[in-house]
Amino acid sequence: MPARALRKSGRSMRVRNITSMHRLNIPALVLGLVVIIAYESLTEAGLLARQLPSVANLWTAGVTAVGGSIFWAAVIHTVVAWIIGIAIASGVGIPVGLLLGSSRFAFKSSRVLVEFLRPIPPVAILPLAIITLGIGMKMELWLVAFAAIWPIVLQAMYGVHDVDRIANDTMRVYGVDGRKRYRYLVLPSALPYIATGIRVASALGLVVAISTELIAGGGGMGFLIDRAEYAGHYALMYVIIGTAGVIGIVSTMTLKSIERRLLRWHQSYR
Amino acid sequence: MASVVSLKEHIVQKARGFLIAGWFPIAVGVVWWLWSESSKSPFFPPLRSILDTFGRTWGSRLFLLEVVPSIERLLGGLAIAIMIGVMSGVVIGSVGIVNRAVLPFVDFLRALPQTALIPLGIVLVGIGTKMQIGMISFGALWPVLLGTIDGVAGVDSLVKDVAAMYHIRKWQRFQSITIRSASPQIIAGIRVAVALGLIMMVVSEMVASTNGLGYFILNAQQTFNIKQMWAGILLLGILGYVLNMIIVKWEKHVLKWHLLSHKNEVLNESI
Repeated sequence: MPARALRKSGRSMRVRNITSMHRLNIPALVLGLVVIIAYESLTEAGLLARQLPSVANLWTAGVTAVGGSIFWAAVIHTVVAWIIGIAIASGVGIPVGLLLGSSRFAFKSSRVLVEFLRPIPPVAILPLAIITLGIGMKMELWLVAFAAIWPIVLQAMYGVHDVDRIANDTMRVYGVDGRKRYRYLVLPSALPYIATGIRVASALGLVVAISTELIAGGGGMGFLIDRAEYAGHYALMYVIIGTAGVIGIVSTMTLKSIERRLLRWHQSYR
Repeated sequence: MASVVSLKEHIVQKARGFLIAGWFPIAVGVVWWLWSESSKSPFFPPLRSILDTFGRTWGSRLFLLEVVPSIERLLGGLAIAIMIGVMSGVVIGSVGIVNRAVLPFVDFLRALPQTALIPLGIVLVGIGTKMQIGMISFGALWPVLLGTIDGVAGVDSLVKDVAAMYHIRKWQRFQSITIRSASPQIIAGIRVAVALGLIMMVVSEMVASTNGLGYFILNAQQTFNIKQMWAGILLLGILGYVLNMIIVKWEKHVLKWHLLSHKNEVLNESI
């Protein structure tokens, strides 16, 4: 009887989880509507500063922007620099991290250096990048790569380092050779760490890409935000900032769902 | 006698650990020094002269003029972010319907690349320290808020029920159960917030400021004062490292109980 009760409650809990995920979030919708209506009536009444355009204005600006090529050129510029930068960081960072993590000596010797380089705000080296690489796409994607590589290296290092000792020893005792041990034990247990590293790196990379464009110019969404601010096109400025937010949340959610799908077998995703 | 031997062993072990951990960074420094010694590139001056400039620049009044304001803004912004984040996070996290209503918006604002908001700060507040503190605190707020909400909402309901059953007073329940069990997530949020706040500080100073470390570095580059630029980058690196170290030490101290029971969780969500 207790066993059945437990099973039953377990099942109903699962069902609830699934339905709550697909159910419409009514409280959030209500809150959003209330905020929009309150904001709109404040702007209608002229109680807010000129710099805060009405929702209707924002909508018009959004529609105009999405219909024009300037907006899309800026979005594409930022996204391309960001994705290539992350790709470079992963391509270099994952092998380096795996290598550094696989020997105790390498792990201990490189940890201090990586832990020292990681907290440096990546935009600190922006002026150096401007003078050595010039303003433009090349500089931007190298800066993104520089910023994104540390979390990836560090996570890969820790991932390999934290492989279950007992499992490793057991495989060794059973005569499993090094390559197979790597393929079936070390890599799979390092994967969740690497996935986290890439997710963190991509959020940081977007911040760096937009900051670079904001400070140095040379195209992209950050540059367009800056221009719109200068020209007093505040509605356009808000539209681009909002777009950056949408890109941020969509990328985070996408990476999380890929992670969940690829790492379904792992304990922490089950 | 035995204690003397173990002390000696302890020292030897410490020294060995230090050597293993330290040889690589030292080697990198030495290689940089030797490689740059004969460097003719205007962008990569000899390390010797960078360190020389570093000493002369930050040993002077420039430290008070450029670095102190930066640190003040950063700490001010972080203090505001942590205060607002923890207080509203506790409220949001403990009321289910509020949590549900607010969470999508918090998620969105957390995922927004925060530096994109700096022009907005310039438009609404204008250029100056007020805007910078505002932007730093706004950027740093979301990780703290999200961490607190997660932590508070995830408090074991069994523990809550037991505490209520034993008639433990509300304030004490809040202090020693809610805050305590949420503290790992709150502190993880604060760690992320410090890194974000530092980025916000640098970018806001590069975009709109007449002093500060970010302004100093960019200005040095624009006036081709390359050694001063390097000195600034170096100091910013040290600042980032020291802040991170303080947080990690504090975390270890406060969360000793937690770390002992979760030895295997090293997945750190950093940025």
